[in-house]
Amino acid sequence: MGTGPVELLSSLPVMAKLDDVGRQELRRWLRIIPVDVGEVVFRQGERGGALLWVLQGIVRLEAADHEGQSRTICSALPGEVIGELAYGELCTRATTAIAASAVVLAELTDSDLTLIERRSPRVASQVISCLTACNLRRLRHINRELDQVVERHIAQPVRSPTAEVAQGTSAARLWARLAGRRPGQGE
Amino acid sequence: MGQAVLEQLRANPATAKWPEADLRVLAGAVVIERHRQGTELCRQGRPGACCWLIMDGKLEVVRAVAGHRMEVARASVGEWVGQLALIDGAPRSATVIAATDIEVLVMTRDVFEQLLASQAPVALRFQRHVSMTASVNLRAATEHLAKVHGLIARHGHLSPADLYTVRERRGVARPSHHGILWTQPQLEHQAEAAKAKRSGDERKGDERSGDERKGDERSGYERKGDER
Repeated sequence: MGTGPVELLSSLPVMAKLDDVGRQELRRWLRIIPVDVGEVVFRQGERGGALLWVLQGIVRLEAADHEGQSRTICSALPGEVIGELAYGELCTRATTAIAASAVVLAELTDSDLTLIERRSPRVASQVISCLTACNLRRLRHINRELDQVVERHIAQPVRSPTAEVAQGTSAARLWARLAGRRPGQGE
Repeated sequence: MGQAVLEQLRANPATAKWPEADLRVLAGAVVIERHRQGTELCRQGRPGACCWLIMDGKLEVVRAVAGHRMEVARASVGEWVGQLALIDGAPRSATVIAATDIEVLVMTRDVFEQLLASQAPVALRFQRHVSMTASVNLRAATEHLAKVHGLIARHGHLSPADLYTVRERRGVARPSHHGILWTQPQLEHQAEAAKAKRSGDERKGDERSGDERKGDERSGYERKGDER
């Protein structure tokens, strides 16, 4: 460890995009939260409404499958954002976040972000931009993984007889195949 | 032109409640395009440069995965499509096709960045909207990946029917108004039908997608009028 919260906050990508005044403004609203390894940061389905930057350590994000079994989705590294803002009905956590190592987080609540928006729109804009970029990177990563997983595990589609007909396969050949005979074979 | 766009923005469900000042800024920055049914506005895998707000008609969003081409969303009046391209310009995650003759408002990444730089309140409002879209799509993708992992853990493989089931559930739970989502499945013939319609259209020879036509001043719909 040995790195203080101020240094950790300064290392956030969002800070690099702000001037001194903006950095100071944002720092005022961030709450530092240390989390022990194995501790749950938040649970899927809980009410959200706060962003959490990972300042130090690794956070594992899990989601329940359709039978309630927990599945690891991805990990968040220092500089990344976890959690989401409350958008109307979308105010619950989409994942369960678990500290995969000792973790330090910086929290910004949705209501504080609204206040920042009024006081200094530029800072708010950078925060939202950072959040969006982070979510987008994660989305693209998940979509890529999804494509790969599907590609690896999908059973090859079975052509239906109608598809073969549509593709110009002769009816005789098709029926012969369905009947387990080679085309041209006698009755 | 600006006044006509303003009128349309006032009437569009997505922007009807926005403050007048925001609408004026937006109206001055965007253009309206018309496209024929079957026109491809963007293609999966190609770089994205703009997003669309549907003013009239319907768009269909299709995605190819592991050789399966399926409709992932259908968007209609008042819905934004393709907003995530405004953030990183990364390759499009899906193909967007006009399901009917359509009229869309086009916001390019350049315009979005200019609005952000100007610190206009409308920029922050729109930025929030784009952020929400990313959040919603991330949530949907997360759920989907968890379900797919669950199915593989249980059965060792996926069948096309599994994919369809997962998507149908999502489609039922969350309609497509949040943009590109994995929703209900469509068999390949739907995409093929759209393609056939497109190729039968008068715009023969123009293989470029909407993103690539961005340099052209007029839409395909308008250009078509000239050709007749």
